[in-house]
Amino acid sequence: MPPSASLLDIKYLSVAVRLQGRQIDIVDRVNLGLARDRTLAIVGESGSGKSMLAMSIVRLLGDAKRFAVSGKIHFDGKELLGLPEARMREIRGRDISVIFQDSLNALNPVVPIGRQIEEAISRIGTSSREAGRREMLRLLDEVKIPSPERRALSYPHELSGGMRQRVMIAMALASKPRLIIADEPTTSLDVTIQSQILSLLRDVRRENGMSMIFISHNLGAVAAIADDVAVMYAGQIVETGTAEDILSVPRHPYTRDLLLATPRIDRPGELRPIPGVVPRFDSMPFACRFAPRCRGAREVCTQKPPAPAEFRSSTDQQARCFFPAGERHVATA
Amino acid sequence: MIRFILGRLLSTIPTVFFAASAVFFCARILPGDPAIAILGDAASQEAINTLREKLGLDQPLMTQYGHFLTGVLRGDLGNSMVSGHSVVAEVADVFPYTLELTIFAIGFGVLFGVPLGIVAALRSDRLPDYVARVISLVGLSCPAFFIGICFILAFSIYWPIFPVIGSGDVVGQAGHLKALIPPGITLGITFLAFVARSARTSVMEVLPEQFVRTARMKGIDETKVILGHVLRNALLPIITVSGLYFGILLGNAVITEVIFTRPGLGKLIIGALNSRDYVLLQGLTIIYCVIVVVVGLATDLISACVDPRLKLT
Repeated sequence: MPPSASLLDIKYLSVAVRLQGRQIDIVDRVNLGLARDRTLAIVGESGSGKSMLAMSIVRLLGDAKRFAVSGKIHFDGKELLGLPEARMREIRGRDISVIFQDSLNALNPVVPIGRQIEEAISRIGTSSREAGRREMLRLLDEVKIPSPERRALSYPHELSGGMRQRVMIAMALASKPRLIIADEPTTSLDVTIQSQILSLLRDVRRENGMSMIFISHNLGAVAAIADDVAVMYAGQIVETGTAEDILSVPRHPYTRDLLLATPRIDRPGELRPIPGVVPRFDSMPFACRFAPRCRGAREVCTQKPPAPAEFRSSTDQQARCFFPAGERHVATA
Repeated sequence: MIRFILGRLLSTIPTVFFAASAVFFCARILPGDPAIAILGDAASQEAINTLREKLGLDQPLMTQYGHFLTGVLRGDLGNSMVSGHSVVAEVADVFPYTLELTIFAIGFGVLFGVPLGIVAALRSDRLPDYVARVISLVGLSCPAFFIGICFILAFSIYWPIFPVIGSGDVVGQAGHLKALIPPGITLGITFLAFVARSARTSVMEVLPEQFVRTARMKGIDETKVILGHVLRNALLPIITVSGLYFGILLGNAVITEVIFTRPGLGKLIIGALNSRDYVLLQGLTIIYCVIVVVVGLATDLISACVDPRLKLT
């Protein structure tokens, strides 16, 4: 995609953590692009570094001394990584907002939810308290919370998980951001509530003309909401492409295994778990990181890291593998 | 709510009963006799016996105990053996002095202790934290009588800014307030250290919470994040431990009042102890019990206001 169309352009982004005197890359030289008005899903198992990647964009990794972020994050013409904290704070909550996974802990337990949303609204310079309150009620209505006037006074623990997640979404929408990062927003919810929240997210994104990064390990949710998909494994992006391509013609063996490990109603009994676990960051295989768990691994896979391969049939798709499924376009690099 | 308060007050009756009984018997185990204390060593045995009779001390112990309990049940704490005034009147006379002293100490402790604790937590393991830790350590390990005497030496004798003793009443309102400062700070500094410590701990516990990250995500000022989100949640343990500390504060107030020769409950109870004024001693014990219970109750009510998740049951 041409660079002018992209809202977010990530180049060689690494997040290193200091562990017993050693620098360990939990996110390893990630390249990603996100176009305006689209949803990019980042998929991977727990511990693959997908949340770390997302939080490093908004600089909310937690203890800043422990993490070293390097690379480039271009957002809407600005380079985020070099920005001083004060400028970054302006971008957070105005241009980029985050929807967190665990809505019970992510909301302040002792402040009514209405006030927590108003606080996010106040950032965009709403003229008066009264106007802020009206906007807050409108947002609660937009995320389909019944009787907003009454609910605004509720505390987080008085709401159901689904309601709380709607509050999180309202809070993220408050500043009318251009990018929303949804960090596993449906993981802790019931299946029926999950689909409600997913369609709500899809609708509000479209209506407000925003872009979204949707982080999930749930491929069903990804299929429902994403335009593009990046598959992450052990801190690296192993496959990128449109959601349709990735979910129907996965090229990387990890993506294929991930799809086979997902229960599907039309293929009962065909569940196949991926053997082994994601390698620990302090004992990362030096060549292909998936090789130890890969069914098709050959000698070369343990000798040098693979470069991304492109394909003749779908030009947007890339897989970091020596032996991807399908006919390769050209062997790059 | 009303039921909660009533229930809590009712449940304190056994506490008060046991405390009062313990004091009743302990006071009588102590060597010494109120009659001798009042009349002096030189008094004749006859005079002593007459006074003992008048005070009811000649009756069997259990009869005296029975009189005491029925009196308390009627709301009558009796009359001081020494002055003859009613215990309630004696207490009412000096209670305002102790009240203003403890309020000053609590205000001083909270006003300086909470910010000190917050700064220590935010700059943990750096210079401000070390300074706060030293202040806390000194405050917690120096007893009130030591700090009080240092205070008198420094600010009343070496630099005579404050009066050495008394309540300063004779020099009017301003003098009264001025005389409150040294004992107030003496009593408050330990409380300050205590509050700073618990504030540091609870702020450090709240800081990594996810809702703090949410607040930062909104892009609001860090000051607002700390005061509006971190402190709001860190307040609860601070209130709880402060309420628990109140009992210790009352004990320190006794010592402080004696050092600065201030009128107050503390001075009253020490006097009662020295003159073996059993009735006053018993009455004061009951009053101390009730104060501690009421403060505990107030602590719970304030906690419930601060944290909507708490249910008063």
